[in-house]
Amino acid sequence: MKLRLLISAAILLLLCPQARSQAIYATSSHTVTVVVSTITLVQVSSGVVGLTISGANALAGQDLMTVSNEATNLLWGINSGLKKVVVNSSVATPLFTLKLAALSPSQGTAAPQVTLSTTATDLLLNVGRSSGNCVLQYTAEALASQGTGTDAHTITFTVQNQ
Amino acid sequence: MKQIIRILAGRLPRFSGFLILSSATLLSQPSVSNQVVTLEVLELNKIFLSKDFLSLDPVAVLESSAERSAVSGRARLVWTSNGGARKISIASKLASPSCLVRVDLTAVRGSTAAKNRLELDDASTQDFIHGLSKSAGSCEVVFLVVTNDPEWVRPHIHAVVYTVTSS
Repeated sequence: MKLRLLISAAILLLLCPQARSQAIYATSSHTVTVVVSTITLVQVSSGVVGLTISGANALAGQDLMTVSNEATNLLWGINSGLKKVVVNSSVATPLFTLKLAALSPSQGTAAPQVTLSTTATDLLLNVGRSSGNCVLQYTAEALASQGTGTDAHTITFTVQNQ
Repeated sequence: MKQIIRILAGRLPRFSGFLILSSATLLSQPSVSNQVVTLEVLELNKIFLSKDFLSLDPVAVLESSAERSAVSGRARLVWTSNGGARKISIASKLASPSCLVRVDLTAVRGSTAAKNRLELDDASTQDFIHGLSKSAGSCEVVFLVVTNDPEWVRPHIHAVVYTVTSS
């Protein structure tokens, strides 16, 4: 039996000249570690939104005039636990009322419409380990008694632990 | 080999620092996004009449002279203005010397200083409602047309124009 094995090995070595010529002189190895850190990203589709209340938004006899804008989206990517998105404005004393709602979120739950102020308020709840988006619906309200003017808000969206 | 190990060992603290910084960068990835929202409210002045065509009906009560005939009708006028110091003026574009159009204001709602009564006896523009300062309001406009022509039976049309202007 042993003799047969030795003969077979010798035949293989004879038939395979590469095996005869190659020799291992050294080996090396390394460990590859993939670390996925906590990623929490939030982004708006456009940095600028404009709303204008003009004659087209008013009815004679009504004090309240409104206009809305749904041109932008909020996008996020989160790989950690349950999160929420809160929103606040930079304007402490706006001339007019500005409201915001998250429409049709692909993940999570939209909070009720928010009247924007400097206090951070929930916009989107139950967001976790997902990438998604929602439509940002701004609604501006002005009373005739408030006259004319301009409010320039910087709206900040922040992801927080829920 | 020992030399290589020595070099790697010497660079280990720097490499560790790089790793920590990289991890910190990942951990502190921006979870905040900003958007600038500009809301502009322009001046608007809106006025609306409940009836575009007002048909006047004969009334039983006549003016001082029994020979005069009179007809009346009423419409509702509503307005909204977010400008300061605006007024509504009124004029008849088809004023006739044979008849007098008397306009009375009733049920005025809103902070205004309205004239209670005026007469359109020519094509001149008259101030009607003052003080449309950043407000919405309404009133009822009552027309009374009086003619001194006892034979006046033909249809008579007045084009009454309301205009919002600055005071």
